[in-house]
Amino acid sequence: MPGRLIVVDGPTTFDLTLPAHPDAITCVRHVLEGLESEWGVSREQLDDILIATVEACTNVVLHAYRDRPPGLLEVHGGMDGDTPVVAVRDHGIGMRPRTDSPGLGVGLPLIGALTSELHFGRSIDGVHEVRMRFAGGEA
Amino acid sequence: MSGPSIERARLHVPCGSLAVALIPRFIRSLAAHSMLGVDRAGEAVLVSEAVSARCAELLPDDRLHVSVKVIDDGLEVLLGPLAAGVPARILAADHLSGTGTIRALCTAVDVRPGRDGRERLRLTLT
Repeated sequence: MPGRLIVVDGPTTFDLTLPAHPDAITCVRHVLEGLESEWGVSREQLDDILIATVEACTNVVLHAYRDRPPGLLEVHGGMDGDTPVVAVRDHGIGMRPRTDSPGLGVGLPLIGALTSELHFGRSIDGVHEVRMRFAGGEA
Repeated sequence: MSGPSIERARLHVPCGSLAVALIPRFIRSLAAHSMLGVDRAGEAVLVSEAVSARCAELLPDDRLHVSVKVIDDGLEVLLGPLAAGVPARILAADHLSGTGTIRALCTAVDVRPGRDGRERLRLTLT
């Protein structure tokens, strides 16, 4: 489904925008640490959300602006019912396979293992987006 | 010397418990990338806790835009756009709470009117 998040402007939804710089990743992680009680997720679920989100943000920093000056890194999150949803967006070229990747190549499989649904694409405003849904309810 | 790695950042969050949970973390992480010392960074967090608590009281059904600019010697935090008069109410509520944290700990506090008739509350910490 195109669009940003299924839930928009709900009481559990936040939008975070930073420059696509490695230091921004620690900021994203630190902010998202505050979601445990607000989203009603367990520590184990929050760890899955943090690891997958950090991996997606790392991909944006490493790959999305490789042919242009770094732009923005956007993280949108919210609860869809009892399901945590996080979208990581970039205004560059998105995540494309590359043979000269500086990473280990385990980021996307790791994200896939930690999420119940994973979508790559462009949102209706043309921005590249990785949308992750996580298992809901008590772990 | 190179500039800060994060020059600007934004957080858009509903006023209420989520703002209380996320805004201080947002400010803390950016203060860590600024030239603020440890004590001033801690005070920046206290200011953000006061702001988010006052917004949760005064604007329970609104969303809050928080924009942070890392300046040469600290942080500039811009809250809003807010309805005209709301920044003054936030400051008054903070004063009435008995702590007056915002004015006491910020280097500068001012209200910036926008062309849209709305206002922004600007807090500078150096």
